[in-house]
Amino acid sequence: MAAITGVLARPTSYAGIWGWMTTVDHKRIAVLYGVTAVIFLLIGGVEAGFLRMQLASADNDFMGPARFNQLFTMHATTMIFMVIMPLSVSFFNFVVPLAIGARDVAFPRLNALSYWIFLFGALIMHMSFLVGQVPDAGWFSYANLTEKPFSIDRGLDYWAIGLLVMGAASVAGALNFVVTIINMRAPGMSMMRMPVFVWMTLITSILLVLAFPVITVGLIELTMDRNFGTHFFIPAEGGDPILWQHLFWVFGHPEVYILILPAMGIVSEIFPVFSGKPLFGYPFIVFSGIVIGIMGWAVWSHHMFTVGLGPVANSVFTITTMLIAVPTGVKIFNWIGTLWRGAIEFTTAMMFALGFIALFIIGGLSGISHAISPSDFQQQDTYYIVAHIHYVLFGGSIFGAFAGLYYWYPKLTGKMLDETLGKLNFWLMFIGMNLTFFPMHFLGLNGMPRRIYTYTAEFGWENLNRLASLGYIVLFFAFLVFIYNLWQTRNSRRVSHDPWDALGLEWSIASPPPAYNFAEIPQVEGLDQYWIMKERARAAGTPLTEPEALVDPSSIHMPSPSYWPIFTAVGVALIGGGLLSHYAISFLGGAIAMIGVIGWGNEPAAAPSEHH
Amino acid sequence: MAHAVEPEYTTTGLSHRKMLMWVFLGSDCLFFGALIATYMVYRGQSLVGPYPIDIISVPVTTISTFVLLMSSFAMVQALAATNADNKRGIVGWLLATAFLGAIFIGFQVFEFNSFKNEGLTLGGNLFGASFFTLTGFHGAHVTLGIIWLLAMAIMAAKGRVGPKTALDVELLGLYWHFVDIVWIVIFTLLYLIGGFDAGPLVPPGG
Amino acid sequence: MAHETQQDIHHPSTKQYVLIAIILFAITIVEFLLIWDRVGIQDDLGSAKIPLLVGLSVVKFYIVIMFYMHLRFDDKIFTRIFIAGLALAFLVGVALLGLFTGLNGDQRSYALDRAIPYVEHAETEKAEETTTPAAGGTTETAAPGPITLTISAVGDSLAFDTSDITASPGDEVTITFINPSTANTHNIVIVEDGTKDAVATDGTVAGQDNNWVKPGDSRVIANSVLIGPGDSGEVTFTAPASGTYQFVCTFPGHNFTMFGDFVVN
Repeated sequence: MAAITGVLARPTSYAGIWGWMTTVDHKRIAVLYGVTAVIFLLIGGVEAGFLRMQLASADNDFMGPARFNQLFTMHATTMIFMVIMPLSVSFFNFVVPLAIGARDVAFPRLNALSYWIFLFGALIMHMSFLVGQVPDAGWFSYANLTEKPFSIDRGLDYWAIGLLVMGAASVAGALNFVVTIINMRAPGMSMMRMPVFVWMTLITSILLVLAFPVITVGLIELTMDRNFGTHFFIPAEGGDPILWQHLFWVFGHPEVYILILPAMGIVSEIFPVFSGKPLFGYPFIVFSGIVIGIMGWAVWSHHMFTVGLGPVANSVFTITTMLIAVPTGVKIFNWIGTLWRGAIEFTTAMMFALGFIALFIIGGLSGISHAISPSDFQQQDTYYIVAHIHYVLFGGSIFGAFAGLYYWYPKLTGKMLDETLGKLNFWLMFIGMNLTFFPMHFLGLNGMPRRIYTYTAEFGWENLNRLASLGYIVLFFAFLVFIYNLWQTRNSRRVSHDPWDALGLEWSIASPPPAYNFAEIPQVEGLDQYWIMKERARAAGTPLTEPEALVDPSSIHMPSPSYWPIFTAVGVALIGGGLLSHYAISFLGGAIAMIGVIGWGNEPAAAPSEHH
Repeated sequence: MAHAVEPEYTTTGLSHRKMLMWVFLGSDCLFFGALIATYMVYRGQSLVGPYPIDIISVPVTTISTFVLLMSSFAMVQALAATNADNKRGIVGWLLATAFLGAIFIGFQVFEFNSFKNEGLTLGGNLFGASFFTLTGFHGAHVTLGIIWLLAMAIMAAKGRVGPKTALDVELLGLYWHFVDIVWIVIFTLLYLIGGFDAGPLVPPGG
Repeated sequence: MAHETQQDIHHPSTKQYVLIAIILFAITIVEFLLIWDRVGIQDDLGSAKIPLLVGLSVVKFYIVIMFYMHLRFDDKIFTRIFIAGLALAFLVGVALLGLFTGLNGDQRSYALDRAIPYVEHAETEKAEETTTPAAGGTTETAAPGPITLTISAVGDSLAFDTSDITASPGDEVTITFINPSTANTHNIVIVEDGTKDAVATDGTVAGQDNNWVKPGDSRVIANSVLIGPGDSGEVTFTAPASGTYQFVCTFPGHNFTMFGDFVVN
């Protein structure tokens, strides 16, 4: 066996660092994604702090324009690709198999591969800091600013390669979830009996596998322009910089729905539990999610209203963009319908979810004003857009993620995050967020452009900028409170497997869940299966108690750990890294990846155990 | 010994891996779609020659198209041999598919070289850039397929491919046929239709 | 309880696969005949050949997917999955093309205005060959004298209005460059033949303060300073030995289209 599976024997235990490096358990991979995302949240947040410090005063010289450009580029790229997306995937990983009554995802090793490739891609992009050549053309890197000779140093190459590598990780992960959700649901769980979060995961994953190839092509063409002499986006040779914008935004618009749909799924799980009522209008919430996913492909040029596409194109995209507000509105009304006349419990998770609705509505309203192309001509590239972005991504995605964190933390660890600290966390974040970003609406309407490193006092922008920078300090404290809350759970007391009296199958098993998740795969009779089970037991006078551990856990054969995913991921990372240094390294990476795939293919999903 | 795959429970009754392959192929449509869109957008926008009509040789490429179509036929035979547990047939047809694929790549290499000698380069004009990028990535897909075919042929020679592991051959077949149909699209657009482009095209309306 | 089903719900037989292969070949032959000029069908068809060719390819595409890839006989879900990706790719691609061809912007006409016109190559290839310099010939060694040449850019575009300038060896050449652009800054640099792009690349690194020319660049015979929009400027130098040289604007990015030949004879 050792000869087939490679030089090293297959790992068997969960212990230590090696256990984490070879894990294929979706719950552990969720932790890996989550911890990585929080670290990058800190990094992206520090970058934002520097930006706010520079902008707090007119004619400030805290930093120069070059450094400022690097920081806003990396801030946005980090927050989008290395914070919100891995946070979402972390929730997909932890919750989805539990919520559908499965023991793991369809392809556990592919799942691990996705994480390691993501991590290496993120490291490649941040290596740009170490070599002092940081991407600085904005997170959407418009051509032909991104071409040499306008961006001579290698920063944009780090950006393009890092994003290509992370894109591969996203697609691999999303492929996994599509198959898992379609093909691994417990018996009786039809599509319309799936929790809303699982539905949103499915739609998001489909968007991911379809959208990333488009930006992959754009990045390839940019890299070829910069390094192989092509002129895809160089006007003097007949190329068209607008093509980059199209390729980017055909990806970029579905991407923003990729960023928000998981948060919408999370709050859809939370509202029923803390309103004491079932989710209002389940089919409408599901179908509006599907409609958002489909329509998201028809609106991309609203990011390009000011580019000169012409009145016909602008009108068409104005109409489609206004239309896409409708399904979002449908969801919001259904959430409100869930809350209406409910017995509201103001737990931290619920407060973050409520905050999500309020802040996302504000972001959505400014979004509708952008949808109308004539008014967008005034708003484009101003701080009004920056306000919109942060209300939907911070107020939306991040608040949703925090709601999910406070909600599912007891399932992951068996302990609850402290509610008092949680509420402090919420209020600091809510106040800080509004203090920082609400003034930006006015700054934008008063003419302050984006991506400027300073401004003169006579514009009259200084006071609002100062307010925004103050808001940042509040947010910083919110983050500290959050970290402390996580830290202090080391010493908290344990809670039961179902502290919230919730609805989903994930709450029917022990906290933390055993490796095999379910001792017996449940038979599903309807939506909110666990609630059905609890009600039946309550009615019979024998309420459900703490689930018992299996006497012999090894009677369930789980997929075994494997080192091939991280090995193959190293190969993929080297292919990317070689393009940034010496091509020989890319060939080495390709060889490593190929050996990895062959070794992986020869390794059975589960190691044959001694009991056979 | 072939590691027999036990039938696992799936919601739809369909194989996980087969579903994965189809979703991946759907995704790859977007990849090639974006590359083809780049080519189509840049038709007639090259500032300098050589233009397609100077370079493209439809007769030669028709032969290589035949070769690729033949390889798809060989792949289908390989799957049939697998289901029939005919080891020599499996190895033979897999090698035939790989061989025909390699001939296709040979044609591509010959073509790229002769185009380069006639002055078509990546950096020379937009036609060169979009042509080489699109057909280059297609060729890379074919090459990966050939490597996969050879690996599968080796396993078959060791007796590890048979009716119980037919899914492995089927998945390889799906990938190979996909690469073939992408070539059908490329051949039609770049050669049969676009191969006669000469100089800048007049946009509709003059 | 659903289990993984057997693969052979229905398989076409070998004979049917061979038939399909023959059909695919036949369609390809028809396509080839449609465009082969020796057969001459294309001339009769004109632009009608495009929908025909596309239609034939769609048939081939359909046959390979449905039969070779077995979609016809497999669960409908695979068809839906693949068609979703295919349809999206097609629709987005068509939308993109529509956005580009519908554009009235400058970029699309840029190529038309600037492209080197296509000339029927087969017949005129011989005539197209670069004429060799007059053999020995006109050695009318005129006395070198001062000459003035005026050159300009074409409006706001990145092109000179002249593609050739000439002088005699030893002439004192003064080139006056008039920049009519409203936005672009230019220079004019005289360089050794074939070096315009390399000089421009090095010039970019040298920076604006050096007028986008590397100081001490041995390939540069002379260069002007930067001439802003609406301005004009001069550069005076002695014409070098007989031969072909180039003049180019080395403002970053301009060198690709803003150049010409400087012939000294």
